[in-house]
Amino acid sequence: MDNLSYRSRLMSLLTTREDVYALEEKLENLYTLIGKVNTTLEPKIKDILDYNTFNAFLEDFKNLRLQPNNQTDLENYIDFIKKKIEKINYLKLTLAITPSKELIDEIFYWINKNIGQDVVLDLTVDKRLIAGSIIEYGGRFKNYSIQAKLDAFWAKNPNLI
Amino acid sequence: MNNFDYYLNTIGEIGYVDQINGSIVVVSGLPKAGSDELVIFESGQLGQIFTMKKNQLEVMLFSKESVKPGTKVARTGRSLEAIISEAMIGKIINPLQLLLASIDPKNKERLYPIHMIPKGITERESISKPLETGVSIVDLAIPLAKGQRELIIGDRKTGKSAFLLQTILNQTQQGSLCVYAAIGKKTLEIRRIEEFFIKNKVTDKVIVVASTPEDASGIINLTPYLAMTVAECFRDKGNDVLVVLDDLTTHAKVYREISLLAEKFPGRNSYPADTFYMHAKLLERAGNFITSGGTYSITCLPVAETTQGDLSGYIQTNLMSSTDGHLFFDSNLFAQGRRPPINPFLSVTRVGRQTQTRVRHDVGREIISFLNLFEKMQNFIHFGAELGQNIKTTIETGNKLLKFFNQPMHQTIPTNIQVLLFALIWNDVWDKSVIDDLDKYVNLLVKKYNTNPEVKKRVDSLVEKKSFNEMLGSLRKEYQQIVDVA
Amino acid sequence: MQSQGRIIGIDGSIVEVEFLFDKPLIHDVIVLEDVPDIVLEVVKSSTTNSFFCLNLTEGKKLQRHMKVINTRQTLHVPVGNEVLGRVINIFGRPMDGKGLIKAKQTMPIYAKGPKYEEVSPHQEILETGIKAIDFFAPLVKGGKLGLFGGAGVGKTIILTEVMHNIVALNEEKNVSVFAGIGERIREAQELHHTLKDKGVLKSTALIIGPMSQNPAIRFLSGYSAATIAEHFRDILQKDVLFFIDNVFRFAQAGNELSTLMDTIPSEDGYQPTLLSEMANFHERLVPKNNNSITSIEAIYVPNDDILDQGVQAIFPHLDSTIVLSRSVYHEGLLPAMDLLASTSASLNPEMVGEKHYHTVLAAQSLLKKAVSLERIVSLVGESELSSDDKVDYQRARKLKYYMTQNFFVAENQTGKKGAFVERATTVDDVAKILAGELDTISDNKFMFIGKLEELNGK
Repeated sequence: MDNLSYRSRLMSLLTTREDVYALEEKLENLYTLIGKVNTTLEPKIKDILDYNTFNAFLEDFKNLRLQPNNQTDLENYIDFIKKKIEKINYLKLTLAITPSKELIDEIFYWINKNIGQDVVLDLTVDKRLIAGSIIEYGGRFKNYSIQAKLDAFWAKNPNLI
Repeated sequence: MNNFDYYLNTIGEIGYVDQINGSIVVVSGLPKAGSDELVIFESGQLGQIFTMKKNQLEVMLFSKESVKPGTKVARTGRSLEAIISEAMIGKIINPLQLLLASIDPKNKERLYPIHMIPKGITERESISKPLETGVSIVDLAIPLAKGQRELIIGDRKTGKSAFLLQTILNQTQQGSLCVYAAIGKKTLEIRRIEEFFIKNKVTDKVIVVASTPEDASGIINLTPYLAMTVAECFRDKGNDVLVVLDDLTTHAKVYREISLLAEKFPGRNSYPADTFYMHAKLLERAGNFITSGGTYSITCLPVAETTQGDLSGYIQTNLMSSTDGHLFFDSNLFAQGRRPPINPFLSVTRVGRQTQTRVRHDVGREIISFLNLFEKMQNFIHFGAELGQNIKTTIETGNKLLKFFNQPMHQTIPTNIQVLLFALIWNDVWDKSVIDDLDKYVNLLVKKYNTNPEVKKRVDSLVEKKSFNEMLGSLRKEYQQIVDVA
Repeated sequence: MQSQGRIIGIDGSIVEVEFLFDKPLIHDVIVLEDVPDIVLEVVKSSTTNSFFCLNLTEGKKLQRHMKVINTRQTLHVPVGNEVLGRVINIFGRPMDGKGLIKAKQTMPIYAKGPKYEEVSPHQEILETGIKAIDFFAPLVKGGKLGLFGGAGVGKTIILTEVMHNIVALNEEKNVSVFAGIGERIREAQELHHTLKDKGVLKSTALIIGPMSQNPAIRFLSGYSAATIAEHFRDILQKDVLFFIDNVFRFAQAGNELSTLMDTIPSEDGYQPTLLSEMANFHERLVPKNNNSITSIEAIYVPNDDILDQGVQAIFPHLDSTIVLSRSVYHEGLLPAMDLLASTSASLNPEMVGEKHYHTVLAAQSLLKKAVSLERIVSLVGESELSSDDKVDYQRARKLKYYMTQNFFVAENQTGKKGAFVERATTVDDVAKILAGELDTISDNKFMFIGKLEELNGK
């Protein structure tokens, strides 16, 4: 698979780090299908992947002119997706509250528009922030939490404690 | 808020530890990191960036405990700089503790760079003042000057430390400040040095910068540079400073360790090729300088260890060729009971002589050429044949001189007394009973000189004649007068 | 259109830069867009689009992604009369606090030696006034003299004395260029002070790259100085006296540089290009079209090991060699020259004349005999020698003592006045000693005199 610049539909489904872990597990399962003789792959693949993932998978295969039942094609595709996963840029986001699915999608949409398409969210919840968030991306670190603001305040005014 | 959190939030960049290789840590992230910048780990540990590649940084860790992969790293925006203040006097400073105190955001004191570019020719003046060690054989035969770099070199346990402490004692009593760099020395040794300073009441004039084998190599490596920075600061405050670097052979080995771990190409004896440059740059920071407040000097006595008296080692010759001379502590002489076992034929001083008075100059020359002769004479003794009177006298005088040059550790002799003592021996003024009890008489003379101003005046005027010959002319008469007064 | 790139890596003084278009050449000077005073020099490629550069400056922080600009020029140094009397570094910046050099011209420091037809073969002796040198290892005008010695045997003092003696004689035609490569700042300051004091500074250009500077600067100081010397020789038509203290440091700096670049080392750990670097440098310092560059090079011998490859690489370029010896130094004989080991290719009747030639041969054979007699003397004493041997032994000692001399530039260390002795006088004096005319005078009287006729006063 030389076409590493191809925008994979499968990859575009990934929103959070958990999504990535889940996908990696599914890929490992797909791997076990390879080497088995006298099997039609497609129905087995459909079993392993969920509905949305399977559709994205088929679309990728169509665009890349691959045969889902061809073992070599499947192996190459899995390696291709693995390479793509290695190159993911994570945006680490720490929030004070557990976000709803809608909130996550909103954030993700914003990231895609303003930062880029191969970014995946790495979400953590830490109540100690009180409110606000900490954002980390590309080695840059920004702390917008209330906790940090309070720490800075106490540091400037130690006599008030 | 601790230092790590402070810097993480203020600078707004984060990195993660990817790999560990001894004291070298590979870190990703920190996009705007600067060369040689200090970084701080989540654990509070400190490190310094020394290589930057496209996607990774190599950081030298300043503590022996390792860090786990995945540990967060923050930039401090600082380079190797330290607080230097009067509060350091009389204390033992550890470079790591000092660095940690210096990067503390609450610190408001001025910071001084640990690595400085040595001053150029416009800020230096020709060396003109002698540096008196209080040890006769050095001050008379191999004299040193203020602003000189003189290498103290010899095998282990040849009395180098004793000599250094004698010199520090003498210099601090004359008003100089002393900075002692103990580079990777055992804690016990450092305590002993501290004891010496306390016992001799010179703690108000010394600063010890010390690292032990427990410290990380990166910190041991910094010790002499920090000591130099301390010296430069106090020079700028209007002091003549004496810096002892004990010892640079250990320092070179530590530097080699760090470089090899960082996969720098090995050169001679596996030392990195810039070992000479590294030491030269350090030693060039000593000298005689013109400051806004006057001319002040930094005299440096770096120490180098040899094995079996071999002066031809790579580090040893590097140091000999970047200093202004060397005092060779000969283990053979040590075994013969000479203290200090300084070999005057294998020692060199490149700038000391130009600062001496005429009399001392003459004395120095007499001593060296006499000792040369004395050495040759030793060959004749082995023949067991009848020795002419000439030879016998020479040998007798030689033995008296050697006795004079043997100096116990706590004894420092003012230069004028040294000259007087030499003259008395040279001219055979003293009889056998005095020579047998030489130490006692010397101590007595030194005491009288230091406490009785009349004695001091007479001795000084005797010694400060126009030439040695002139001095010898009036020696017996004036010496008798001094004895009468004392 | 500016040639732009960016920094992608930093490792000590090696900076890796990326240029996607308009790639730089080796030796091009690269500067930073936003940080002034930083000078990088391209050394070699790392990949097709990136290059390793040497950071010639120190003390400034560099970051990845900083923009760099290729000046499309190699390093230049100011040349001409404006550099006389001044002390500069390899970039031509003043080190003596006397303000910028307002030179009318600068020239690239990299250059080739003259073409075959342009090189003039040398002919005459250049007198130094120092007896031991003029007699045993005379200097050839347009040639190269090497001063060998380990640490602390008086190399720098001799260099300074020669500079003083030769330039003081003929300031119209002669200029001196002094390259201080990897030496002590104190020595540079003292040299500057001495030259000024003795009135020689105004006809000397000093270029220094002391041992406290990074290896690139030390290495290139030699080239900068050579460029200035070439300009005096070719454009201003002067005879140049070129002094180097210390050419071994040139080899050492090259060694440090090649190790920085991870080059596989050759013999004794030196760079594989050692011989060609030495040759390129020395081939520039030759006489061209009847104007000469006469070089006097101080050569440090590491570990007192004269077989060191760095030292050996210098030998082929020298016409005369003076070897300084620690044992002679300890006998109190200054200059501490090993009279038998020092030699010159000019010691033939055509160059030095019949009398000098024969006298020096006789002197050398006398000294050789004294060396073998020395062994017997150290065992049984001088009195046990045969009367002939005794005479020879004593004459040899008188000759050695005669060769000692007080230097003008060491007056403040020795307290004695310096002396200049013409070569012809030295030859006559030595002939007299060898002929036995001074056998009755005790040898001590020969120490630190100038001409023999001074003894008549004693």
